[in-house]
Amino acid sequence: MTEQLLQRDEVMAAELVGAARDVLNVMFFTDILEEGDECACPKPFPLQVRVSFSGDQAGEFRMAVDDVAAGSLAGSFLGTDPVTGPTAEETDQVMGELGNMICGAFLSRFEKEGLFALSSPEVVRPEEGELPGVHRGLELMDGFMDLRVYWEPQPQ
Amino acid sequence: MGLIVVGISECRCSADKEASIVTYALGSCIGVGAFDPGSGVAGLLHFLLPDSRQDPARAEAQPASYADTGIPLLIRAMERMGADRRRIRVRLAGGAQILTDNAQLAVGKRNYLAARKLLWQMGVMVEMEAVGGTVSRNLGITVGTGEFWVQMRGTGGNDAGGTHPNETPIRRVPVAGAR
Amino acid sequence: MQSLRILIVDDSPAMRAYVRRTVQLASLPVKNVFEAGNGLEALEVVAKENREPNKLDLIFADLNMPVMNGEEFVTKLREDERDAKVPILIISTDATQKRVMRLRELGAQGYISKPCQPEMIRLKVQQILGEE
Repeated sequence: MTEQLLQRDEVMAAELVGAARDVLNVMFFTDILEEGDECACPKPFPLQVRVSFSGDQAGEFRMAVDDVAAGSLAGSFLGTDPVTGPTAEETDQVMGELGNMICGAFLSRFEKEGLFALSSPEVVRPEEGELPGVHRGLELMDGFMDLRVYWEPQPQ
Repeated sequence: MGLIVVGISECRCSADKEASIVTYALGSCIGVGAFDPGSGVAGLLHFLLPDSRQDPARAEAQPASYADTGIPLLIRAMERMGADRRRIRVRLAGGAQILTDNAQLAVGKRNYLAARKLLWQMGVMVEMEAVGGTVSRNLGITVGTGEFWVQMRGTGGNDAGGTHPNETPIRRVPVAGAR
Repeated sequence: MQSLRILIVDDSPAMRAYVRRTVQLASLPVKNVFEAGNGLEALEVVAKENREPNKLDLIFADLNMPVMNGEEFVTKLREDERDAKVPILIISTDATQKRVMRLRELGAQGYISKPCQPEMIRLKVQQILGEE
């Protein structure tokens, strides 16, 4: 891989984490405690969200979370009673929206001039398959999250 | 009439039109100022930490120490005095980064996130906020008019410039991506 | 502000719930909240609900939706003289400059990029309805 591509991947990883932090702080009232190449969470993740994008650049985004993170994040977003918590259906719906928001926020930060169309988020239980590309593992205040972006090579 | 001073880990409410409620030296702590224009009830909480689970005994003795016990305490106390939760408007101040820059020690930010989470959960809207930076703040409410004010000490804050002597209006909430 | 009739268009039930909750907490005088999962469903709601004397006061719309996306929805809505005046507030993750400019040209009154705090939504609603 050329140095230019390596640099691009580093910027991409930083923007991915930045986008996630922004979304998590503002609408989910939580924060990222640690980030790294690998996540300290048992694999496979029980829940994964996939969003593909096309337009000025095509590719795929994936977000995976453990059950602790999923329940806590969904409850925070919906403002549900912490005792009863969100239903499984609500949790999946909120995780889909969270994946959609992080992907959209990432694209807006990384390609400010770009124009994209995002697919509807697809929620998969449990996590399926690995995605090549940029990857970050995150430890949240409650639970773990794993983020991946695959950027299709541009024709020269 | 008079000045009601709210100390650290305290919560006070009043409907006395002649009174003002004030709290001093909000560093990483958060001041939650609340006012219901319908009933004229005002309240102020000065909490220290985000989560009561870290010391249940202290939370029992001093519920106003923590966001998750203090904020329900404030809202319910105001409701007992005739306030309606749906009308209550909240302003936040504090949440500064006073200690060394270590993510694990970022108590100010944790406090801020906890306050927002609790208020959203309880169905109370935040109207404005003066948070973050490295400044120490004072927060006050004039009960008769429902006017809030914030004073700052130190540097690095991002509050707007003042319009009254020694006072600064609370700045508008910063919103990511606002157009 | 009169009693409001609003429409929330988003394929995400979670986001529709978020906007609905914000509108409720914001003490806006809301009378009816209608929901649609995409642009086509939204056009059906508009055809049914935007009738004198009960007009719609505001539409919240997402951009990335299946069947009919937000841009197509705004374009179609603006083509119909009767419905062209209903203010539209876009709430989307897509905050690229090109997108925001294109939406303005198409006739959306406001644009909020996610993530957004509820008070931002309230502020924009007040601005849009106050300007009327």
